[in-house]
Amino acid sequence: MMETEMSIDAGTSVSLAANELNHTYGAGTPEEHRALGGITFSINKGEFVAIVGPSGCGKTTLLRCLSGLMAPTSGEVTLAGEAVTSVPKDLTLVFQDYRRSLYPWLRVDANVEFPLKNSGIDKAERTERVRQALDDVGLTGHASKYPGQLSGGMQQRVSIARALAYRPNLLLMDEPFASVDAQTRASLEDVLLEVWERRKKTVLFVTHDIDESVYLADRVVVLSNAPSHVMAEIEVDIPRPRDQIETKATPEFVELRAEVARLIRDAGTRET
Amino acid sequence: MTASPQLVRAAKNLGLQLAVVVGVLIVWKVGTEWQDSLFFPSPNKVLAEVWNGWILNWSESWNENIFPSLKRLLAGFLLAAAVAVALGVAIGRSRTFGDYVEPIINFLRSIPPPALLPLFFVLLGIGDSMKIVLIAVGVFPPILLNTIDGVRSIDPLYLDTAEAYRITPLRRLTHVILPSAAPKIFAGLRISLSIAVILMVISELYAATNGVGFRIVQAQRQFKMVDLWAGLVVLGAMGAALNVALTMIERRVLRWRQP
Repeated sequence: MMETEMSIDAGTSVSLAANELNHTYGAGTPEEHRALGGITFSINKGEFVAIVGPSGCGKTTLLRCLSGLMAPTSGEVTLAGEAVTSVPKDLTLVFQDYRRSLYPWLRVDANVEFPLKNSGIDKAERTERVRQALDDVGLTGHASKYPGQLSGGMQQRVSIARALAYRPNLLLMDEPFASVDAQTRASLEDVLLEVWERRKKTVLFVTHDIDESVYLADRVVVLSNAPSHVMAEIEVDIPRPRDQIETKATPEFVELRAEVARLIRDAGTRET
Repeated sequence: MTASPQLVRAAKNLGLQLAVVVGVLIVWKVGTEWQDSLFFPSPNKVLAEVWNGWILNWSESWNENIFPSLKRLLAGFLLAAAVAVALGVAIGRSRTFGDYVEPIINFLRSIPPPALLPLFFVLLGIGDSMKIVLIAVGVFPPILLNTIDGVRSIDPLYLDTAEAYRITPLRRLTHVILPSAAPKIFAGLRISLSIAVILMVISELYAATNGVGFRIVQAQRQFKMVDLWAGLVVLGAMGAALNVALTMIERRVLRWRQP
């Protein structure tokens, strides 16, 4: 019953691609807001890509379009070459607001297991996946609690565990650590990196935190102000495994974070 | 042995509540001693009648009065609950459908249900179905309106999450929408249960050959004041028992809300 996660056919190395994505809210009304202004980029299989941009630049809109939760006004999203029109099977999202994304009426293990019951996976396999995912995020022993009995950081771990147990090849994360305290955040970042390396996932991680983007990613995609487009893509070739203190003290890290910060600051002053 | 603080508090509350009951009984007793009235028999006579007429005579009380009443009440209540929750989910999920049917619902719920009794009497006769329909119609609006409210106030992120994990529409309904609306639905059920008891009695006063309400009105016709009061006590106990039962179900279903 071993799932062979690594046996994905290696036809093309591109996982997700966005082509000229445009999105306008309330077109033709006085409140018309153009959020996305032609975004084009792609993610390769197994890659960890971070998207950063000034606040209000339409990151969440972008992620909703990429995941198929929302149709862009124009442009196309493809996953392994197939056009994305609804949420594909091979992808899922981790939302920023874990408090409202976990189901409070389900215990922790039932929350993690919930999406698996759809796909005809037998009970033994489901139980094993839940156990493994909770173990991966360090929540063994909390399985029968309700989400309301856990701290914020632990709740976000549950929603990451739920995504892991689902075993998508592509994980989209919308500022998942934005509303937890700094220490919890650092530990969640490391949990994520560790799981990503072990389980060979592809991750697209949206954040407004420059340090976080450089620390986590292989590549940082920098967005402009709304209507946003890709201003720059910066390769982060800092060796892994990375360390919260050591890595962040290296000259490469300092230089890269400064470069990203400069881009975002310039984006902020150019308009307005 | 150490009693937990909650247990001590619960015991204290129970003690106080019992004290109030005893106090009321004493006032009632003293009042009837002081002023002898045909219409207000003393509490020991009433409780004796509850004991002798109802409890010692249980098989008849149950078969002739309590069971028929309970059957009508639960049939009407469950029928209304099933239809109201289904309709409420449909209205709550579809703004357009809601816009079409809400004016009708608002008009219909403004009619006091007992006023429908003559109509149902003509349409359905004097049997159980008339009583069940009356109860169902009366308890319908609170369940419906609370369900609509509960379904409309679902956090959109719950639904986005379900979509992100490709949860099928049926499981979305049973595992996301209904649990999320459950607290409001139960608020509606609680209001409806007391309305159901009221309508059950009214329907039995009007045209019936059995039931608790029938026994009360019969006692009144035969001028048996003690029996009449005993019937009211039994009715009160029935209502309270139903409430306790519903509260227990609610606690079980909504146990995730208790920290």
